[in-house]
Amino acid sequence: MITVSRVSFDYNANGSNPIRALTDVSLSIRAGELVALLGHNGSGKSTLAKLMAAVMFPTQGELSVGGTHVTEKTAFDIRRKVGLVFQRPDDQLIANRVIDDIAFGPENLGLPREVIQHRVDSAIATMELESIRTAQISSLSGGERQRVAIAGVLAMEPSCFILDEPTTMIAPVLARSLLRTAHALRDRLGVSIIHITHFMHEVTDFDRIVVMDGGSVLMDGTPKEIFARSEELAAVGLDVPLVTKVGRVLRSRGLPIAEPILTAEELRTAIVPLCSTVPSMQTAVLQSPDVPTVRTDPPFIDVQNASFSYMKDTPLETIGIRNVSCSIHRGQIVAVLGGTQAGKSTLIECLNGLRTLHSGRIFVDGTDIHSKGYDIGALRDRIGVVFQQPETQLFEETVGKDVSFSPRRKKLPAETSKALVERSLHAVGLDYQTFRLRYVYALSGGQKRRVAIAGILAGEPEMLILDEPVAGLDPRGRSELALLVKRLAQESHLTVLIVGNTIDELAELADYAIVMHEGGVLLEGTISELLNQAELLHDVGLELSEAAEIARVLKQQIPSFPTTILHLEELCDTIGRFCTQPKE
Amino acid sequence: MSLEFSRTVTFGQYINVNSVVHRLDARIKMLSVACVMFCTFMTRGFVSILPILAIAVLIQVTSKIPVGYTLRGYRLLLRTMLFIIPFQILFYRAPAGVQVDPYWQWWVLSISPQGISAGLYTLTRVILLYHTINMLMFTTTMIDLSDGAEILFEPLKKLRVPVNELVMTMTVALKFVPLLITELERLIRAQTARGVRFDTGGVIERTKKIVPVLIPLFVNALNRAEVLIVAMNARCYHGGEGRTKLRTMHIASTDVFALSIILLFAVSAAYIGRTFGV
Repeated sequence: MITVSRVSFDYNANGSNPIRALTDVSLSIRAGELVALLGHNGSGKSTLAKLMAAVMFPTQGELSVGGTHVTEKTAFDIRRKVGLVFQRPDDQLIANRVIDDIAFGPENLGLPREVIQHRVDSAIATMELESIRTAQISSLSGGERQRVAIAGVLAMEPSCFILDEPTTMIAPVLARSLLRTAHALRDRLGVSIIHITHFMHEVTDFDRIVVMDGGSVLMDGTPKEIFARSEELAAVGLDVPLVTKVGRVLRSRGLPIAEPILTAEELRTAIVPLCSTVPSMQTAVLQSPDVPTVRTDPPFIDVQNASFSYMKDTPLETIGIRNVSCSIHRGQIVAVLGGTQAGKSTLIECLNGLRTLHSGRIFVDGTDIHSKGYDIGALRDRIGVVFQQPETQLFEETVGKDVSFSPRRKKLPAETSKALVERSLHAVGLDYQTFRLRYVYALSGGQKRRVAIAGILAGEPEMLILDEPVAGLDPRGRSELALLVKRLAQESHLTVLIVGNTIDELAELADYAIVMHEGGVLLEGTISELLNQAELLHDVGLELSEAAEIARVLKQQIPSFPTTILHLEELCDTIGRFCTQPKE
Repeated sequence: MSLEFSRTVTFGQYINVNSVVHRLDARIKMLSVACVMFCTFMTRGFVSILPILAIAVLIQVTSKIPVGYTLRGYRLLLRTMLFIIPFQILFYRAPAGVQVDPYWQWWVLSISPQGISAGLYTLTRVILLYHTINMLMFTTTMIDLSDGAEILFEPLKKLRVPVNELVMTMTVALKFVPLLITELERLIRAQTARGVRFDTGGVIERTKKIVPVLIPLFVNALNRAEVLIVAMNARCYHGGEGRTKLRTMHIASTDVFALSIILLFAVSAAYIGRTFGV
């Protein structure tokens, strides 16, 4: 279907400083194949995708699609055959209404009206957009927008779909449904699908995985073949799914488990016959929940029955949060968790007075922040918020200037200001001398995000709010930033509030966690207490850590299996205990 | 400063309540608006403007747009007008043959009942013009407007005006409006959270505060535009040549009926104004 032979590509090829993105890549994609293209940022996978979709052309080598050689002259024909779905649906939606956007492609092809109508109708049916076919795109949720974007490509009736990192920026629940869609499209329409991603666990059930690194193809094979080569993957900083590691550890401990295990279901099938069916007493004792420390001192922040609606008193009103009560003590690390549209972001915007509650109250150090004469400016200095994707909010030319924004605004003496900037940059792991004069726009995504966090720290807040601090980064960036946040939370003695959609290593730091759903508080307690309700968390769109997710799947057939598990070690030990019990 | 522009700025927003007015053909609505605007300029006083007022009320009622929502949009306009109208009253110069009996007079400035009446008349006209355009925007989607414009301006193609491309440019620009508003709100929230007060300080200081918001806004918008170009190319966009359309427009009997009523009222307003000058 698509043949890439010895293709190289340079950005700025005719300029003075060509930048090599692909070197001598050869690859062929068969019709109806479901292929994953994996690799880090800068590995060349997106460049390859753009070449295959004929929106860029190779510097050297040849590419053909369905037998047609790709050149600027044939580009129009190639683009009809190869559909490209982008990372952010907002970037590719053109019209204002769903139906008009889906029609955009077929209209460009100059098809008769009846044919366009037919194609649009069938794309709408396939993507299940019937109920919102005439809706305004700006009123849709992220998941709906992504479905519209895919429908728009579908209406072109391509024989190949390229999904360019569609899961990086969206919540895990949406990512899962997107992957289901990809499978369904392949199964029903027989199109080939090339899914570009950073995440291993998404592609375990694909036909084939192509791993790229440094502009060339590193590996090419079935998931079983690829994940069996975990050492080679680790060498380029890629990780196998956690469940594969669990399988390996268990096998090294003498359990008869085939290599490699790719899904939790596979692991379950392998383990259930080895398990004792009687719950072990030993396990029950070991799994006693942590005793939460009851704080008797007055809370730092006390939220009482808070409610807020967007576009209140207009025809477009929607609920942000309703009747939320919670309290946060000094020095605590608190996690606010929930799926999409749960009200997490609204809550933090209310906390530092960016939004005024429509009912209920918020007390900070015992004072109502909505009371008359309350200095809301001072409150915002005390509560620093790092918003989602904070790197898109940087505005100064250099790192030093951006971080020193708060001290300069407060007109602190130059010496104090310099010391603060130095300390804040150090806290996010950037060296003051090296980065002070660097241009912000020349930094990598992860570095920019660190700079943004340093900018908030330089304001010397008493409390730090981090809204989904690792979202939208690749796995390497995620684990580095998670490590940083962990250190900040533990060493700085700040009160920290972490907002997220996953019970991951960050949420796990929390002394206390609140689960929000549809604007209200659904559950609260320590992370282990929450994990006891793993099935419920799963149902409200909260993502569990990989280990807890595996435990949840195991519990479905081993009812006494605990779900309060966060780590690989813990999971392996627990499975070990279940499997070594003598059968009765 | 409010952090919800989309809540306070009502102008240009489409309100999906599906009324008779919403269902009218966009071309008919645009022609009606042009006609009402033209005739409004032909009125001469409070009597002749009455039919225009009647049209405004009629559209407001049949469009099912909440009255409160419409009125909210007038705040900024009224504030501006409150600033301008006093000047119009003070500098009022009567046309030939009109007797002026001022309450107060000094140099070229005066306050007279005729001046006040003229000021109020101007205010009414401006509000009605604003109302007419506003109603068009409330009840017509952007795509209908641009499709309508594409057909209405079709003759200009003979003069080598790239009508299709201009309409596509408009469509894309309009697509960015809600995105940029959301982005602007987000940036202002982030700045506010970093302690910036947008509601205090003089003109220069306020302007300075806006810069940190505008820079990332433009940078992000340019990035988006670049991706959008690729996205449009990938979906085979190649200009207006050889492009077909899914949407067709039909003039129904309700359209003819609506246009006739509006023409009747508007022309009578112009006729009264021209003939009797009241």
